[in-house]
Amino acid sequence: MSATGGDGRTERLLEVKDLTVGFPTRDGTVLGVDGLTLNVGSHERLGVVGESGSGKSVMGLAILGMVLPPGRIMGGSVRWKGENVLDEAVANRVRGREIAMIFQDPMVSLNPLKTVGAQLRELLQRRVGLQGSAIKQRSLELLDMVGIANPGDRLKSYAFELSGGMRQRVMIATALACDPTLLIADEPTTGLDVTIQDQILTLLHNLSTELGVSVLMITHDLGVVAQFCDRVQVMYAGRIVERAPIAQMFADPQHPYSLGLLQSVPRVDQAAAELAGIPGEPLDRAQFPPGCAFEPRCGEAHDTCRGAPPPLVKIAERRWVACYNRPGEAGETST
Amino acid sequence: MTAVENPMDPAAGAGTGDAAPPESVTVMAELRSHLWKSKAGISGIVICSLFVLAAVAGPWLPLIKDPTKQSLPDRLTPPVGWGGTWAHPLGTDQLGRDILARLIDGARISLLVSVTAVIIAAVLGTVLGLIAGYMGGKIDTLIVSAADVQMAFPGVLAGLILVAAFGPSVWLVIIVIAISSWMVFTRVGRGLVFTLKTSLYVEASELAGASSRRIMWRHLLPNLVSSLITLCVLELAAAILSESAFAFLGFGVQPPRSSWGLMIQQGRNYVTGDGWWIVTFAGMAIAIVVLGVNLLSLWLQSFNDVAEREQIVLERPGG
Amino acid sequence: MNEPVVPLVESRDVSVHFSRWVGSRRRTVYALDDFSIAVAPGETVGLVGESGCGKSTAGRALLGAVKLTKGQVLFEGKDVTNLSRRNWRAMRKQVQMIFQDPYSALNPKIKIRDSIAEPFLVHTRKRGAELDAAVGELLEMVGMTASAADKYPHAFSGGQRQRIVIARALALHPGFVVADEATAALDVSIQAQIVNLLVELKESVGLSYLFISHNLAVVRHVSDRVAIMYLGHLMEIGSHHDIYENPTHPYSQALLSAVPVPDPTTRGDHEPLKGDLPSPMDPPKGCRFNTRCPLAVEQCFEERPPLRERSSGHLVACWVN
Repeated sequence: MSATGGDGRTERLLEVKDLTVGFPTRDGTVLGVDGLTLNVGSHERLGVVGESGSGKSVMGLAILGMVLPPGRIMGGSVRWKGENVLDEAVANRVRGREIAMIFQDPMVSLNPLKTVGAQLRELLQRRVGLQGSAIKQRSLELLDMVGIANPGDRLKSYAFELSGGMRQRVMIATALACDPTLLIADEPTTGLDVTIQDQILTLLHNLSTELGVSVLMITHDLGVVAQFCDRVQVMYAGRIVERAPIAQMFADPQHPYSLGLLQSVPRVDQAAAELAGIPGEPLDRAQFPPGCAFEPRCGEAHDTCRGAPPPLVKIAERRWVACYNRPGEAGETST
Repeated sequence: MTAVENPMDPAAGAGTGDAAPPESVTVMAELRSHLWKSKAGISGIVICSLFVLAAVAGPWLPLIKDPTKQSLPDRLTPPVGWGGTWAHPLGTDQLGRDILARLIDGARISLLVSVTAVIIAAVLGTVLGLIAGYMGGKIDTLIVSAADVQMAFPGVLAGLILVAAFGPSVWLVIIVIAISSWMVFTRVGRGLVFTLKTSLYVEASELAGASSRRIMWRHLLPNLVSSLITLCVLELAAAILSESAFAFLGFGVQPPRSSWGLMIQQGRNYVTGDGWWIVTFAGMAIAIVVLGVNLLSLWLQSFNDVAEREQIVLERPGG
Repeated sequence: MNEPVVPLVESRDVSVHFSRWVGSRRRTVYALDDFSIAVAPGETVGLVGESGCGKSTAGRALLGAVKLTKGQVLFEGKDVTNLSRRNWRAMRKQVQMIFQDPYSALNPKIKIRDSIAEPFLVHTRKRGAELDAAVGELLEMVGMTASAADKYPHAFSGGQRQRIVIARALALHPGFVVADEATAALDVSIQAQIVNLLVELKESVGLSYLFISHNLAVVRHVSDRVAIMYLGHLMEIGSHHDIYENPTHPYSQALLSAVPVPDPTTRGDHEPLKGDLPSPMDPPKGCRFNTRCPLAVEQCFEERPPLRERSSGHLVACWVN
């Protein structure tokens, strides 16, 4: 596995700029995602890591224009190879074909009333336009590709007859059916047992390398990010607080929140010192302070932090941080 | 959809537990704000309030006559607009009694019978449901079988038997209605308890050594209340109808007291000719009140659903 | 188990089987088989395994909260397996449990005060101001303010609720606490707070824990000894050092290498363990790990390997390693 990548050599596939998603509530509109910027290059595995309420899942859906009502996209742009994905016609063409998505719970995307084979057949007929025996052949090939033993038997199975890991493999197979260029994976291994998670992550890693599929991995698990991704963005309260290549993020986190997260995770391979943790609780979205959302929990906060949210600025090559205590290179704010 | 993150993480308050979380809006205020958005809810509340007001305060209202006072010269006076006068706004019946006064008197009986019967049924049914659901085993089988038998037994037949034995009376009607609807509460209560008793807080309480009675009373019952109140209102509508039916059959309240069912029974001979208003107004009273109660229950149910949904969203940050 | 002191809690060859309806058939779930473990006073024993391994059942068996099919549970050396309901009630004061899901562990319709006060109401004569003071003290002990007592659970976040659940568990100063996935539902920054709190309380109050978790890293952080389970069988048990530095059972080795380490410099190629977890309703004969074990030999399919001591206190159930 390589710990680099996503540099100048790659072509930009997905460009998200100033994406803002709002949810109307009793207390006014709260922002699930607030001015988010993100790029995914070809052959890249980008991680988006954050805790509950960070807006990472909302972001994943918003990229495909799938925000559930009453939420709605309030601003910003999402471009796929230069085309505006927020345009419904473009989204319908791209979604499920060039960009596929897998979720934590496979039962969300698998039809409980149809066999695995029937679902793949429908997909291959409608989206790929395969006919006749080519469908069966491609179905078997897809199941084999995701490491399912006896694919012929499995085509006749219903989703509820499969184990959690097997379901996740079937969901990956359906996502790969249309040869996507980008796979958005939202917590694909959360809730699976450790040994099964290991299988699925290895599978995703191998598939992305062999097929050249970029992956946007949305997760809460820093271990998954460290083992899987080339580059990572840390989200807190709907905003990106830090973006860095994987090695640098873990060796030298710059934002106090990233640092706190890393110091909160015990490691299985090392006798742990004290876990630092982050004091306080995540904030209620409706009660955000006007300044940096992390300010109430931050040990380095000062008056400036309470004024306005800090912009994401470039502090070094390929490193971006949104913190007043980490001044960036002049004039460079956000890509 | 589990994959969608909750945008409203309630995990409020900075600092380790010492920051004040947002004060929760009280249930009553929430109820009011939800009510104003619902036409059905407002209509239901208005109808039910008028009904209760008429039943409770009716006899003391000015211009309301004695419902039992007969006046044969005034018999079958039509309502205002059909040749009647304001002396009897809704006309008089075959004995010259004021229809409006008799409707209001009937409302009293209706309210008394339905509310008392539903309270008895709810208390009895809920207690049995709690016991059956929590204890399980043989007790559960016994209670469920009893409920099934009751379910299959026609209430009118039970009424007939009791009237034959004890003679007609209002209390008899109350008892008949109560015993023909307790099992609704038992079934719903038991079903809810089945899910609730697997909650970790029930296990925690058991591990703390709490008695079964304590767990049922302190932990399970409070979580049943909102659903059961909705059910009470729904059963109230059924009870009002039953009361009218029993009165119509002559099992319930006896003349000269009035009841809507009794008015229909006595007025039906005049329906086609010179006294259509007797049956019409009594029938309308029943229909409107039952509709009002149903609207109220519908709204309560939707409020419960919303409250439950919002609570889940508010309480469980996903993602 | 060669503990020098009398263990606080001990299970001897405990089996728990129960039946469950699957479709129209009644099937037996082999949740726990011949499970023996001992927790010394002041010790934290970590119990690790994947879903269906019986770790939660094991915890509940030690608390007398499930019916044992076979075996004994001892508390301070006394057999408490067949205690009457009344005597168990007295035992309840000394053993407690912290749950995985802090959202379901607190009754939403009851104020925090009443939730925490319940153990006092059941077991003591504390009432009124004395009771309020005790509740306030407990809340402060877990890092909350006493004013939290007047609120309902929905006013609190997951981490805060878990603190309240801990306060309730510690109300009557139990000696032994089973923490069943106590941090699994929490975000990492909050998980760290709760783990630290549990470790602190162990020192200050003098507790023993059975720390049940699927998270090997958290278990490493809190435990003195660690037991690894698979499909109702204990596979390996040893000191913290034995398990993490010298894992001997092939399953322990696979489990440890499967955990993604939050450090990209540790990336390396390893072969993930093949296959799915068998169902506890239909466990394989012999060693339960034989369907997935890379080292399995004929004997593994025929006979269950006994737990054998490799070094002092380090027991492994494997024919090969």
